[in-house]
Amino acid sequence: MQSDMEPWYSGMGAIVLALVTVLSLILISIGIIAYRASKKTAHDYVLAGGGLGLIVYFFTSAFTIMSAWTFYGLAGYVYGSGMGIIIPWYMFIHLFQALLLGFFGLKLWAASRLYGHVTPLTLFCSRLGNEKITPIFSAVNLVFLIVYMALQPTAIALGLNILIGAPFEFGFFYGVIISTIMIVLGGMRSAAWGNVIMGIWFIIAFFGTFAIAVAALPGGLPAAAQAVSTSTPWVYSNPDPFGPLKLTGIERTAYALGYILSGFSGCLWIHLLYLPMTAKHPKVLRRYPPLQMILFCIIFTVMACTMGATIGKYLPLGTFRADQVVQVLASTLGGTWWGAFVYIGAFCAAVTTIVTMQVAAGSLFSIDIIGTFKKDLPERLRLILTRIFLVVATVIAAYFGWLATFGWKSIGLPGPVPLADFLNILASPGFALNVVLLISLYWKRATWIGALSSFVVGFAVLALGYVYPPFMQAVTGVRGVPALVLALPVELVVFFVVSYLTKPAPPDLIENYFTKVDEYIYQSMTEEKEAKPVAETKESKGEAVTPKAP
Amino acid sequence: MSKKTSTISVVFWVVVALLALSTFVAQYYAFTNPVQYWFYFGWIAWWQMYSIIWYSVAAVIYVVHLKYWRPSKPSGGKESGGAE
Repeated sequence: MQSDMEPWYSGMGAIVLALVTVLSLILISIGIIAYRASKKTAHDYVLAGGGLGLIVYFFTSAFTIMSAWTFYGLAGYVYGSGMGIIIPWYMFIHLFQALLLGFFGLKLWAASRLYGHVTPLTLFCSRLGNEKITPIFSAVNLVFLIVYMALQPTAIALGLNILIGAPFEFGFFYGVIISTIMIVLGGMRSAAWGNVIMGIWFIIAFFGTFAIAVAALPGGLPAAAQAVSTSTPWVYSNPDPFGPLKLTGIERTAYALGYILSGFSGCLWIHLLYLPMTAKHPKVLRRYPPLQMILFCIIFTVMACTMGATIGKYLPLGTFRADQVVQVLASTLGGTWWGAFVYIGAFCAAVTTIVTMQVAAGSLFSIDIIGTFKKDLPERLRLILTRIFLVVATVIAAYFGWLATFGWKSIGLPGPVPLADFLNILASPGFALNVVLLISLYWKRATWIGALSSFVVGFAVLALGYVYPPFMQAVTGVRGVPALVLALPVELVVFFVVSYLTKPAPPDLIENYFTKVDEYIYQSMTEEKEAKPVAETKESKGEAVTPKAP
Repeated sequence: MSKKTSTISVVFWVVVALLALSTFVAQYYAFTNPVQYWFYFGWIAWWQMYSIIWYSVAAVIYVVHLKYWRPSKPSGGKESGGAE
């Protein structure tokens, strides 16, 4: 940690700045290379040309999910509030995210390839038979996406301030500027390549800190666990999460339901819906889930929880905020250089998440909103608008994050908004509304009127629960019920009822989005195996090999 | 869909449903009861062991599905095939 006497940019601050500069140069170089490799089309910019192989797809998806919350926040949560509540919550999220990125995403991938859709919302609305409704879904998703984007620069600023005492402004805007330069240049391709580099840095920093911390324990982990189970046993258990609310009985059930539902929405985050469309082959998607389960088990459950509960509580590390536990372990036990290296790991965690969101935000505006009204927009103009709007969305998100965490007094908040609330309470429930769109890819009877009306009603209930909290208690008679507990069932009921009451989609639409899409997936998954011997034979004869679709 | 593929699909979705249900039960349990401070291998706490087993089951079921499930050729108009 930085001494109070030294300026923040000397000593450890200088090392951190040097490493940040090195990483920034790497990321900008990636942006330039990706720009040169691109075909200058919206499809190429937003979906990386649909050419990601397993390794890049794995890093892009896994590290879009793992943000600064994973790097700093989880160990901090366990250190301050124990394991019991958080472990089943994140497992639930990971289960559904793996299903999206490995299973449900197959249809997104195939329909995108077959019909040239660049964004998931244009794909969903095209399947529903009414592309004019795309801007409504886009505008709502954009609001929640900007809220979630606001979390990342805030985490970078807090981390840099805690570590070296840098002014909040510096960390806040530096991370945003670097990620924006990289994305404006290279789009999703640079996000994907950047995620591989930054993901490796994340893994080395996290695994290394865990190893260094375990090696520093005098009697090893068993002795530390036994000592902590005597001194602060609650970290291994379920501390009362309700605090002053004092919820009991049915109130606790409703709260638990709301908590788990916000986890379910993890597979409906709008920026994650783009990722299956970036894969080059369906087998890439199918191979992803087991890899995610293994890596997340190690990072979340074994390392973060052990560092937060056992090691953080056992070692005499002095006084610090719970969210700092990983950084304090790294700086105290690994020395100045390692501490700086680990901070860059957290910086990477934040940037890997925000870059995918930036691409999504730009295309939600340029393709989903502008593109709906202006179908004949030249490709070059679409790209320019995507880039301009992702910058605008980033600036809005940064300003919102700044107000909520540092300028809270100026907008009359009682205190800074906690980092986790950006996602858990604000953004994630909003993304859950996308469930009707995903269902419509698998349910032939879904109609655009059903999807639109249910989405609007669900959003209205959710918004009412946000702006007027007593509304939920007045309707349900139960205290502490999150708005999603009511909004999601209401949305689903309206969706199914209205879809059944309205005219079904025309047969050719069903043919295109069910039969043909299924056939395309079938062909793609069986073709490679059958095609290989043919390709080898032609190559061996010196003949040209025609690339097979897809 | 062949009988083998169909069976694998059914087993897969049943296990996925059980995994999802178990997280809700665990969450509700965490909201209502304290857990004993059991350790495995001397240092892995009860919640961590539950989580490791859960992730392992999830990984195994995904691998089994990947290895043995094959898409069946969709017949015109019927809802079947690769996307399940």
